[in-house]
Amino acid sequence: MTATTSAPGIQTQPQTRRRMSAAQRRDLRDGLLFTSPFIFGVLALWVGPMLYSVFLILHRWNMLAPPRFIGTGHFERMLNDPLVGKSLVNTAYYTFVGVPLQLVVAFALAVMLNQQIRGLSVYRTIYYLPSITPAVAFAVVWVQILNPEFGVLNEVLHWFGLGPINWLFEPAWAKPALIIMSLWLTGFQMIIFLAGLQGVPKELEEAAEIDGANAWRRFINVTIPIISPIIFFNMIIGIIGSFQVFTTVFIMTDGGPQNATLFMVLYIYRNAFELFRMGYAASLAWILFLIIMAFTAIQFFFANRWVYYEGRL
Amino acid sequence: MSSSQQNAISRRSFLKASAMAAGGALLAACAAPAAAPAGDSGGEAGASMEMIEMRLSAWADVQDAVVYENMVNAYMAQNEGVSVSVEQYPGGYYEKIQANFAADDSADVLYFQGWIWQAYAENQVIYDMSDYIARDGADDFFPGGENYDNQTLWQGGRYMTPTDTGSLVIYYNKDLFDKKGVAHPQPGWKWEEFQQIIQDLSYEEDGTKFYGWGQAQGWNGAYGRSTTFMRRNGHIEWDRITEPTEAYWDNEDIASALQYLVYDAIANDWSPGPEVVEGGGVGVDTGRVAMYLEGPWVMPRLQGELATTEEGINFDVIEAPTGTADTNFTFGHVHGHVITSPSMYKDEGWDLISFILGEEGQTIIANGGRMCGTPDNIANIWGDIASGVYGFENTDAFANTMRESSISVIFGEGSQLQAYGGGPITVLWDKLLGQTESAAEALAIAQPEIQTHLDQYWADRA
Repeated sequence: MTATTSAPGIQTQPQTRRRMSAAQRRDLRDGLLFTSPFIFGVLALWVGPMLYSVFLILHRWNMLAPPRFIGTGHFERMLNDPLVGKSLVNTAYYTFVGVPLQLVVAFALAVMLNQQIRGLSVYRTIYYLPSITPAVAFAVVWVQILNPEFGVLNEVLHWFGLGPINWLFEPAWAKPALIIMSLWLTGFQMIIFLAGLQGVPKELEEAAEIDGANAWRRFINVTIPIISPIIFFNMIIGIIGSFQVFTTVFIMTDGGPQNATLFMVLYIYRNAFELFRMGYAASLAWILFLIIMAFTAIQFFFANRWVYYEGRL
Repeated sequence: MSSSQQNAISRRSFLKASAMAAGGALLAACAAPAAAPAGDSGGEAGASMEMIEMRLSAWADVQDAVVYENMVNAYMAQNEGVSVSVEQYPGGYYEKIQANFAADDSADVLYFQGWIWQAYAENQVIYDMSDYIARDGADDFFPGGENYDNQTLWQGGRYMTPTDTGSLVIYYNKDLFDKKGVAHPQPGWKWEEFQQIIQDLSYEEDGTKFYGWGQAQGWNGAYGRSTTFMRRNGHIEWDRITEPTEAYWDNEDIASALQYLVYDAIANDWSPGPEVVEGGGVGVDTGRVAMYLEGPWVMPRLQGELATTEEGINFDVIEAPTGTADTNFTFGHVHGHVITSPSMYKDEGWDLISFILGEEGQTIIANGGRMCGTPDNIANIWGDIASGVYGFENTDAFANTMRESSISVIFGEGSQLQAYGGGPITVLWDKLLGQTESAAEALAIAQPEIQTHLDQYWADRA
């Protein structure tokens, strides 16, 4: 471990590696010991499988016989597999339509729940509850809500002279139905937004008010910039989560109708556990990982243009 | 620092010891289970009276737990020195079997459906039982016929036993027939009569819809439940059932069957659509559907303690109607047991399987609500038990159907298609159920897609 701090203008000699004291070694040992369950878990259950999946990219493995080297065969197959493109398009649709809507809804809820009204904590609890509902129970309930014949959603639409819509049974409506359903799960994002809103300095709002800004201008010019890192965070998390959507789709539509809800992770699962193609599934998983990484990097690249970090010039 | 303080365990040391203990416990928990005592597959128990511990998997329904607990208890009572534990893998049965093989931790004897195990045989993780069958003269356990052979043989080897079966027959609600004065269907009835009855028994009464036909409770991928009608005139949609190379789906018989039974039936309210079924409350078990094609596993929902309605359904069964071919092409499920190749107890596994296939084992299966494995056992053992419990009369329909029945299709490893659909076949059904395309239009699109799939399957094998 090296210490390199020096006062400006003072020439320093290259420092030699300083030996740790006995106390530091003891601390290091204890620290490693205490974190060992986590380190063990990460290595065994995360890093290990990831490394093995890299190995599988070049192999054919069905879990029953030893892996067999096939070189770039999986990538050649991918190019000729229409369901890869289909699942990527479906996933992109779900992500780029769903995430902005989720952010808007979560933010709107946070703004409402940031008001001083009676029973505020009750409302906050109610809006957060769906986020902690088990995914299977949630999916089963929404299958009924979206039912074209008996569902609540069509009943509400009927009041306005709309519908009925064949939500989960018509390719054109299946993805919008899942996006609508995902809006129910914005409690986590809402809580993050709420924390951000409560951290907006009052003095800035008061200063803007004194300068004559109305509530809307204060919201646009003060609140939004201050919480832009929160928006950015929620967007990153939302996009990553949307690319990985699986459980609800697996239960509600199993990729149907006509593959309209065949998302990437579901397709990976099918290849791995239904079609005995672990190597192909691993290759698809890495492609998805790279796509998510790329989108995350792009967002960070553009973040400098719109995300305001207090104290950074 | 006093000596007493020096001897006391510090908080740091205590926490350290706790962490080490927890880590040790974690490692112990992750360690491989102690190996079972090495048995001699030659069957010698040895002088030490070594206990043989076998593992048997059972399908994950509640009734199977009861059946196989009774089964292994009866077996163990006759076989001292053998302990058999029953394992169920609810939620992803085959995925867990696959994972167990990958972990080299598979059970000794596994339960399979007759159209799933072939990929396992290809990978030689399940064992060819032909030698045992020949040694013990156990051919009687295997009734023969194309359907049984398709579901138990693979490339000349006999890998699965016919332990229990599920012949799909038409269940009909006698009260709904009587109410409308429609004669009950009789053996030998025809496709045209069947169509007429569907329409006669579809009506609305006091705002409640009653349906003449319900395709099935499980909608998507219902291909396996449609072959009986698609093939009614003798046209088969493949060049062969096992590992086909050519698809013949773009055919008038197939189009007319699917157009009538799926598309038109839903469009005209002769059958509930998938959304109605999913909403609940509509089925033969609730008295709202006059007929549907199902297996014996639905009977508990129609009569008895687990029936959906308090009074139960007054039902009977009949073999599916035929067309000009005069042959029953209904999907006859065969379910059974395989011995895993890594098992150290293959001899004992075969002995257990022989017990299950014998009269005592088959009686336990019948008493537990599953249908016996061979047509003769269905007629002689299961028929009386099931008709007594569920109150239907035509027990012959089940045995006859198993004698004549077929399976939709069988593939080895790597096919998206299987007996109940998959890939372009599922898309085809989605289109019909959603009524986005007529059967003829959908089949014209599906045919080349299915053929492409077959070509890919064979290219992968090459």
